[in-house]
Amino acid sequence: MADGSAKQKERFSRAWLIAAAAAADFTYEIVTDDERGVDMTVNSGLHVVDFQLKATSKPEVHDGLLMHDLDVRTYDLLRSTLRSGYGVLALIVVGDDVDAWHLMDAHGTHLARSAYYLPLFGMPATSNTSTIRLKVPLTNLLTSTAMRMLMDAQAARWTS
Amino acid sequence: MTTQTLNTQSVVPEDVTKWIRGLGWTRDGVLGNIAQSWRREDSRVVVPTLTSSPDFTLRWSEMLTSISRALGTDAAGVLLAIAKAGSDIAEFRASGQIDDTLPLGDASTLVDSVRRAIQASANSALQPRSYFGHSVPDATRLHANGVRMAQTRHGSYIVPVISRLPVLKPDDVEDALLFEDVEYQPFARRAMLRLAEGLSTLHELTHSAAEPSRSSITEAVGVGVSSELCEAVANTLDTTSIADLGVAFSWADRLPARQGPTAVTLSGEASEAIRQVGEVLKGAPVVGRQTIVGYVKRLDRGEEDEVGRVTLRALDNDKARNISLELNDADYHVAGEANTDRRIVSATGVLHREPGRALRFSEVSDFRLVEQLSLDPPNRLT
Repeated sequence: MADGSAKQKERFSRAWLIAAAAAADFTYEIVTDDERGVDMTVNSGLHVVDFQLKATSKPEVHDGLLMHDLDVRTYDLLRSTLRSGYGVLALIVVGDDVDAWHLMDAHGTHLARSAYYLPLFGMPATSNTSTIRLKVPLTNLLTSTAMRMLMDAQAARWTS
Repeated sequence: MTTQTLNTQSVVPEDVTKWIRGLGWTRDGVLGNIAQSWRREDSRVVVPTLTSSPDFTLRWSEMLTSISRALGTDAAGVLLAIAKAGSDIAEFRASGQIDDTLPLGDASTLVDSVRRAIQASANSALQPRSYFGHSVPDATRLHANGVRMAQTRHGSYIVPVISRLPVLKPDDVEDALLFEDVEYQPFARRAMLRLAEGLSTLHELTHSAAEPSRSSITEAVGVGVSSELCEAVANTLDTTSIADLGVAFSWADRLPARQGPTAVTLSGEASEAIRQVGEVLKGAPVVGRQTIVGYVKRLDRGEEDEVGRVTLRALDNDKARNISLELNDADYHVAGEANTDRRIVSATGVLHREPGRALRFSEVSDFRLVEQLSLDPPNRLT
């Protein structure tokens, strides 16, 4: 049983964003150069949400919260209120068996397992120098409804 | 001119917003000073405006993609159009015994002459003089270093020179009106105009049967003719392979130069006459007069003084600066009226730039109120 390489997990994790964005009638772009901390962007035609994608097959859960140690550089890039795009962390928990990641039959498609989000925009600065421990509620499922809510939050920043 | 001939790295957000506004886009949203949303029919684009923003480069790339999609071109085409709209371009065309090649020494002379002509014109825009010698002010040096040479072209040998026009902004809100003066041209534009007008006047002086009078030569100083400009042109015309030098100007769409010359050709047969004009200018130092426009910031006159000292706030080299000048009784009264009524004035004279000292204006004439400009909003004019 193999749980896949980091690159394979990263590629697989895009599926959740693509599905949620398309279901919400948004477009998306994969950012090949994530120098600026962004792996994918989702665009409503008016506004944009920037996602940093992280995938794990060994989630650490405490009291209904997913733990993730994000590097401070990426955290600072995405939490900045000087961004045009709304910075969000997408944490994808994949199954521990690559062969079971994507199953499909005539009745439906199964992707293992789920995607969660945590808005980083506007979060406080940290004195940490290496990583910061983020706590993502398990209730923050990255559904199309959540995608629309994130887009609404971004839209609210603009004035006419 | 092909896409790669223009350096587009110097395009800034203000260039983009000015350009798309000119194409009929309207701004329909603002995200503080971070970004602006623009719309034209069904097309939308977000223009990032804060270059220090963490996602500026990502948004800039998206912006170019959006605009190019809306206009049916590619990102390079968009950047080229923006750069051209915001730049003046002078094309120096050397013709003679030239195919697609010319002797290396002649090419070197041509390029060096172009550089010297650009520098002489910038010097003249700063302060018209018949002969500059080794005096190269920082503003001139910056301009000469800031213009860019594009790739040469086939046929005759053409050296395109691109001068980008900056979008000017006041450092102090009190000076905002000075920047709204439609008569004021950015320094880069004034330098290019001096080049065009200087070369056109040099042509008039040297391409007729009659020898130019000394007075007509010294008068030409005011429009950009200088000993250095003459020498630069003559050096090119005296090469073995270059017979004529044509210069074509295209002016930035963003800032039309309706009065600006569009082309001038200097013939190799006039080379000697051009050198003679240059020698006259070198031997008889002349400082050209300039007109400045600004508001009266300070008045100072003692009871017994015949003249009054005035500090004028005016644009010089794209910055608002204090310029001191002395005025006779009548002109001092005009300055007082301008100060009281918050009116703009203009003055013609000789500008003195002395290192470490404030700008000074002397030999003032034609000191007057500028009718259409006031420091107050238009509805308070009456």
